[in-house]
Amino acid sequence: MAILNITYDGMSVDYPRKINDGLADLDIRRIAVEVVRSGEVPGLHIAGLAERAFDHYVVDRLRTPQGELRMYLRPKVPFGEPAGDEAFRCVS
Amino acid sequence: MNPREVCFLIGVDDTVLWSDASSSPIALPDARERWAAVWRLRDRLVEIAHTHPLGGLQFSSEDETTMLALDSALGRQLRYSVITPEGMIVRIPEADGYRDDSVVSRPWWVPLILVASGVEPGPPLRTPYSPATSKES
Repeated sequence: MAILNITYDGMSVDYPRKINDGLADLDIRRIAVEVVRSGEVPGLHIAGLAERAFDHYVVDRLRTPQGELRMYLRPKVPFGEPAGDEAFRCVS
Repeated sequence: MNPREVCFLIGVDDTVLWSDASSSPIALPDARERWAAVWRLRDRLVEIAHTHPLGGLQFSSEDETTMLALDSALGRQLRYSVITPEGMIVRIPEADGYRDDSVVSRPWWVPLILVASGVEPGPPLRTPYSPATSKES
């Protein structure tokens, strides 16, 4: 099990319930939309959050010094020049 | 030095807050360290600049989705810029979206980011600090 941290709209908040640590990024993004919409994330309740709000987000999986797994849903931050667009599609 | 993409995080008064570089001339891969710097410096962060050392004075599709993701995470629109050996464009937030402008008066750090990218820094600056012309006495 792991703690999920969601960064959105200027806030970085832990979802209070632990989630399955084997989930794929796609599933984590879907869960994040649901829990933010439903108000289960303290301070981050957006009922009308778009279905694809986290489409361009990635998940970092880090272990704390105590051995606890934390999953951070955060925006992707790559940049690339137009000539590289094709290369990006090939490696993604 | 081979050309490579470089990223600067720019604060108020054109302060360079943080930087990193790629080993590629066409890509600046995702990096948790870059995101960590953005988040840590978010209160002072004004603009994210990066280079396209081989040219291409426009935002790429990768740039577009990254800018969307960053703005949604930060809860506000940042300013973004692309610098090439030929010029500079900037995306400026507006009340109902944004606009893209070509930059004529380049900030002081543009030659620096170009040199760091392994390309010629271009012609002399035309900024308020180094006017292109002066009055004859």
